[in-house]
Amino acid sequence: MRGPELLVKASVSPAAVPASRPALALLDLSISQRLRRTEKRLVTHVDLEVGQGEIVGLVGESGSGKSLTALACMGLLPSGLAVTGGDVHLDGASLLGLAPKAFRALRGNAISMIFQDPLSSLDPCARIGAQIIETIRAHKDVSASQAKRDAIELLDRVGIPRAAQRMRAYPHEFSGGMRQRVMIAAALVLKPRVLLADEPTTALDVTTQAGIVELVRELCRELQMSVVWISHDLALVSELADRVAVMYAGEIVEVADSKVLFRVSRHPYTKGLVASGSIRPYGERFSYIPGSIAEPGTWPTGCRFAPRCERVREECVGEHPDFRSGTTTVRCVNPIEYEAE
Amino acid sequence: MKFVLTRLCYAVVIIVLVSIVTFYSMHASPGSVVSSVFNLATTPHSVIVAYERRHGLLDPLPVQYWHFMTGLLSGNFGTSLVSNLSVKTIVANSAGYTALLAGSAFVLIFGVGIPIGVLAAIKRDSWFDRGVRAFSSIVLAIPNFVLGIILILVLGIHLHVLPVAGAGSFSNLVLPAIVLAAAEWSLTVRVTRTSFLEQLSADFTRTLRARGVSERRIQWRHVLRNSMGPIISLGIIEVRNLLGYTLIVEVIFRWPGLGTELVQSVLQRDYDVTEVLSLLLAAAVVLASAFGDIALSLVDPRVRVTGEHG
Repeated sequence: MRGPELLVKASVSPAAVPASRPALALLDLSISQRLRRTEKRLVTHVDLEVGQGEIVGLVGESGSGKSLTALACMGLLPSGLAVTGGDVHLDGASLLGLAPKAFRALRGNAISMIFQDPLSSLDPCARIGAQIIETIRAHKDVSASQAKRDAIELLDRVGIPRAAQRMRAYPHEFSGGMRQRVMIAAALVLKPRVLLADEPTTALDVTTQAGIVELVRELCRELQMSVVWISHDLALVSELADRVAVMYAGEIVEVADSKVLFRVSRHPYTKGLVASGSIRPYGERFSYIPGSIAEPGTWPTGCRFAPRCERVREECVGEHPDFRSGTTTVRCVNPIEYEAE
Repeated sequence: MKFVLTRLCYAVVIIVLVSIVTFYSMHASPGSVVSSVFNLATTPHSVIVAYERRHGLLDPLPVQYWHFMTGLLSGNFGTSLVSNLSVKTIVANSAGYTALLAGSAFVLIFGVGIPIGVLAAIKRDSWFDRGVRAFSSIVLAIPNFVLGIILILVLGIHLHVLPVAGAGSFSNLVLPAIVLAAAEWSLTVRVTRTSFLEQLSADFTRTLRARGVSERRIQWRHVLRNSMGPIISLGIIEVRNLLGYTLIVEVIFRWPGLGTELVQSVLQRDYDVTEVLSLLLAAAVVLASAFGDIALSLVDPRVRVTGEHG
């Protein structure tokens, strides 16, 4: 199973692999739900490298396994789910092999995560200042006043007006956008190497979204931090990310430089995603991908997208496709080819 | 602040209402204090009438109520017509016992109940959790006066490990406190466990883990505080029940507290004593629920907002 994929990886196009040692590397990561006798595969053989200071978009429909992949990197899979293969490396060192205590020391410190709904994701009964200070003191042996100064400084940096006074406010006293800024402040207060952002703007309105995206981009540059930005919004991701990985039914189907991916999507699924999100002339119908994503446990043995694919051929249903490189790295036996430009 | 003031106004209204209802029902019910003071068969009628006139018992009820209430407000709590002791003395002699008993039960219910509920939730489905659940349903199913009698029979009379009546030493306190606390303790354990489990799976716990906060801190600091709402709401009702049950439990164990005095005064139609003691109990219940509401607003900042606007 693994062999051919590794070989392909070695020969991928330069766009797909950063030059220096990656800050975060997902190596052949698989996640399953343990059932009584069998296990249901939810994510299979995900390979993804994120360079230092790089922003990688992870895109796909709901249920494609994006969030689970991120949670696995944090060691925070929901109970009943487990990593059944592969590893995650942070600066070249294995994360998943760590003892729980050692892993906890890295969370919020070297690798951080922000979530979709900032209201339910903050403790409603704790002041926001206390929640940020708590993060600092979970990892650093600093005085309470020093921690407080750091927290105010960061709240100020993420654009909370009157940060010092707002330290004593509770989450429900903030707007959605401000709450997400607080979440970002709490996640970044220790200047982590890697930030996993799980649809942090999905619950926000469009103007607020733009502010958050801009903030993460700036902080990423300032802190030389790597970001994995999970979203189903391909347009947003192609705007923000350096590279984009497209997930479908628990696996990555295409990885490319974001500018390239948007123009020349070689996987039929990526093309469908791009088309369904693009602006079309007045009167033209919405473009959509027919059918719905295959549920885990009901994946076809061949290409998992084959049942919905308009380019499907005989060999698509037989064997599971490996990555092919070209303009982009794509998991398809019959990718869309483009004339050399 | 406005929230607290509103609560205080409610409390005053409730206490006045209670005083009227108690006063009226005591005087409207058949029998009179004179039957506890005199032997009605041998005492001449004129003596009784003279006694009643002297103590104002022949005045119209509103007038009697007015005298009683003005007396209360000027610090005169009245006198027992049966024992001739001032009500102040009776309260001073018995209030400490009731406070001790109810206080011990309170500590058992919340001080022991909440940690056990939390532990059961943390060790969900372990033998400890199963044991706690089974034990609490059994205790909950037994009425406290039955439990009292069972414990008296087994521990007191057959095994002779604990005294069954009276007060004076710690061992006297054990049985009545346990009996008084048992049912409410079970409720607290169960509600704590359920509420804690619900909050344990809330989104914010994942965020805290993602920031490297230790599991113990997440549980005892964040999850517990978030799960206090239902526990306090139930607690207010439990404290009310607790004060009501003290009457029964004090009588069963011959505990010389307010409950024993109250029951006795009702039976003897000792008006002033009944009235003052029931007002004390009512005030305690009202205070407890006011404190409960304040505690609720302290643990959950969102309650404060609605309280101030509503």
